[in-house]
Amino acid sequence: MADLSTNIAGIRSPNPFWLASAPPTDKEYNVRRALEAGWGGVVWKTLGEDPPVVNVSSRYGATRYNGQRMAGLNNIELITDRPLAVNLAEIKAVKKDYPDRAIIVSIMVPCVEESWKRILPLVEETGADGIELNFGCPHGMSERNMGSAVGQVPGYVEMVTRWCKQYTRMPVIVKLTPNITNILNPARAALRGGGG
Amino acid sequence: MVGVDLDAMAPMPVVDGRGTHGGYCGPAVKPIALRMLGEIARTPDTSVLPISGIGGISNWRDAAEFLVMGATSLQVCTAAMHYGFRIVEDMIDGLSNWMDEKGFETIADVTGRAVPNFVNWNQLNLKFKTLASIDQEACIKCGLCHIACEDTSHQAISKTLLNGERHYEVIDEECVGCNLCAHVCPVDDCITMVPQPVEDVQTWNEHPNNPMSKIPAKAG
Repeated sequence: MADLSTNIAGIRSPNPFWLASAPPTDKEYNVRRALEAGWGGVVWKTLGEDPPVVNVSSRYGATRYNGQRMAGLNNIELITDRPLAVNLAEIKAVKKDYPDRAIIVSIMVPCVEESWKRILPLVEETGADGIELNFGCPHGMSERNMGSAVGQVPGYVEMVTRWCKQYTRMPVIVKLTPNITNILNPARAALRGGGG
Repeated sequence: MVGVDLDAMAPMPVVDGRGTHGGYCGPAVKPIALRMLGEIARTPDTSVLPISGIGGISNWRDAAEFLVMGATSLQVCTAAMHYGFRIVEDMIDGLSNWMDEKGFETIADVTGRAVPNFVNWNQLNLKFKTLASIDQEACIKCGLCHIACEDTSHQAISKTLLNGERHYEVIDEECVGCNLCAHVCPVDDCITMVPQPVEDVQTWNEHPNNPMSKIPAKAG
């Protein structure tokens, strides 16, 4: 039988299927159920700085097409709306119980070196396998100069990636926004920021 | 924006009478994601980046497609939100069976396998031709292929009466192999595209009609 295990930038998982950073990975209860079901890893829903963001009520719109429900799903939820310490404690507990799975933490803080310098050691302390930089969120957070507002400017992508490589030993996944004309520009910026 | 609520006069989902744009995901975004993945994977300087693929992955086949287009790990959300976490069991089984069938032992064997075949248009063989073929046994005489071809393509599917029944036939000389009839046909495998023998390879780069090509066009 085929060996489905994978190793990406030093992050190992028993199969290549990870739950993406999103509502299903916002808390320990869901993540444990996912790992029990067999997911190879999870990218924990994006952490930010305290005080946490506030989310709206009614969050999803769906494209139905000729009887197909959710052919497309539109989400206006923001990043996690729970305190940083709560998420960090839960990540640590989950990683301890599932050492063979990939636990990656999505992060979004302001484009200020101090902010990244402050949060990275806290995430590293959980024992997580890697981080993912949320440079994709196109609503709400982009209005606050984060998310896709960063992902759309290759210079910022490079700058923040470089800070992360500098302030943590963890592998860094740079999540690129598709809301850009040429994907190679931010991809090259991520490569440069990572020292490549 | 997935839609507008015509009573509230606001984008959906509606929050107390107003709406906003959001993050769009699910099967609908897969084509966009695959192209971007492939673009990074095939470009020499960015091809060194390991890629975690994401965007509408809903089943093992999508997963395999993202892997062969350059991904080393896969991220899924909407499919889990739609069907629950246990959908991963089907994804793992399906991917594993497919790898066994193809003789791939590890994910590393699979990653990037289709990348060399993702090329720019000017590297496609202009000498290649494929022709539509209608399985008359399977045909339900609905006429969708005929009207699609007649109205919007190359008038390459004739409509006649045969023993009092509607009959549709491909006119090989007119068919450019565009695939439209196969796409609109509601019966699986009724219309298939049959690749014709290839004589040789000529891309736009080598074609005499290309003003930039080295081969001069024949006069007249």
